[in-house]
Amino acid sequence: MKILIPPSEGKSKENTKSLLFGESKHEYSSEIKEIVNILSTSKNEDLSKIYGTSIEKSEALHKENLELFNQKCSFAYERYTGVVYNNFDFKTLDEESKEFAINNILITSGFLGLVKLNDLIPNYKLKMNVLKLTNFWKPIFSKKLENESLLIDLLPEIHSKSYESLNTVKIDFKFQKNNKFISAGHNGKAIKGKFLRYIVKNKLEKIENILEFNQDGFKWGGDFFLKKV
Amino acid sequence: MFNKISILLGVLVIMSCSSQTVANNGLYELKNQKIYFHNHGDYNNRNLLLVHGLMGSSNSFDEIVSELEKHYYLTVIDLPGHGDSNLQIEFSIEELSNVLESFIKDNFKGKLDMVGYSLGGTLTNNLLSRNNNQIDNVILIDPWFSNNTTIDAAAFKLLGFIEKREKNGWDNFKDAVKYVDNMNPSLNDIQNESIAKNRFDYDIKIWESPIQRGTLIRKEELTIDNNVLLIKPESSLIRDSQINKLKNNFSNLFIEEIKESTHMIIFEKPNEISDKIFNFLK
Repeated sequence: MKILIPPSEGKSKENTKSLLFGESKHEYSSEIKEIVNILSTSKNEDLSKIYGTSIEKSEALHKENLELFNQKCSFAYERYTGVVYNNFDFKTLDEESKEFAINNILITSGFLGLVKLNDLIPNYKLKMNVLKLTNFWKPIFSKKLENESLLIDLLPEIHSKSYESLNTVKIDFKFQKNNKFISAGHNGKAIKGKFLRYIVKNKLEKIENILEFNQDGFKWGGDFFLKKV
Repeated sequence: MFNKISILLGVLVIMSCSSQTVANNGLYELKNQKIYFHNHGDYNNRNLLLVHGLMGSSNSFDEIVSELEKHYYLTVIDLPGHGDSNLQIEFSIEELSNVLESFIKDNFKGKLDMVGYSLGGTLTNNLLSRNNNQIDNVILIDPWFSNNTTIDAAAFKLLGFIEKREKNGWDNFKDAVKYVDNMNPSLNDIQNESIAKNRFDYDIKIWESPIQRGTLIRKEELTIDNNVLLIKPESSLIRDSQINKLKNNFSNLFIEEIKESTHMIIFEKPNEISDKIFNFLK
């Protein structure tokens, strides 16, 4: 069983380890080198499109990305600081739950490949929806996940396109208002973090147990977790 | 003895029922460039030429052919560097279009309709831009276009890196099947073996070619009045801005979307595609 989650936009700039990313023996180093190599050929006028921000900020992000292998690292659970990660709150788990989380949670990064929570990673910015990175990673992720009998997919749509498997259960959280289903938005991220924590604390590996999750008014409604508002 | 007579009678019955239905193979040569092709159907029917996509071959259309051969005389080709055809030309949109134009000129008398899937759609679009006067109605199935930015070029290079690395790592056909199975778990074994054969056979040099640079949709000076059907999957390669360019170029553009499908649409929804082609050409 593996649980797939996206990286967060929010990342800590602090590096807790002095080890350089190039020295970390990351599983997908050769693929990342190719992405860096391709990024280095990008023209300045395309940088805003790649990074989705102003040209000045894009140039700074680009420079950091090109130097990725010379950057210092933090553990992935320290680096990613978004709403999902805050509500998951890895650091406060007991040791057994941490081990379960490390063994069962994979982060689908457009730049770094499939990342474990205890992988050492540098600060970076590159979204999955640029350079057709979903197509780039699809064969690699699909191969890595081919023997998993259950994949719990907590990914946004674009990240879900980065792998193929028939053993996937897609998990989403929605509000039900006047018989309409509305995406849970920010609350959806918070509850995803709590959902992760629930699975990990209880070391659940069977889908029927996982779908028993019932917190903050969200209950499994057949296709997704629902909260009536 | 009785068995032999039965078989002979059976053959005669089949021959009498399908007097002009043929399925044969052909070879067309343009200097050193060999183009293998297959014909299906009754040669008295309307001509329909089918052109496959990158890393595909004529067998990409197998399921569609089995439906369309009832109504049309089909010619399904292997593009240079794909299927049985060698690669003796530069693998670019313009050179491939030159080969296709010669093939059409030398193999068809009068008008024909065309179906182009993915790269085949890009090439078909390019032949219309060249005002090829033999081409009548056209069906583009999720054609591959780009906006010619360095981002598009980078995406193509990244895809090439992965595809080359995987292909170079295959010792035998079984490895290709395993790779394709992983990539398309919802397709059946026959479909995946067919895709795997194409992946195993194509010439890896295509990734070093300038093919991607030719995928920009040019703005036409005069609108093109051929009937054009664009079939797009729900999760399509083609962007809205590119569809707008096509709308500007073609005065008779029809668009149909097939739900719950991806770029692998010719394998995922062959019957729906065949129906849409048949209804469009009808």
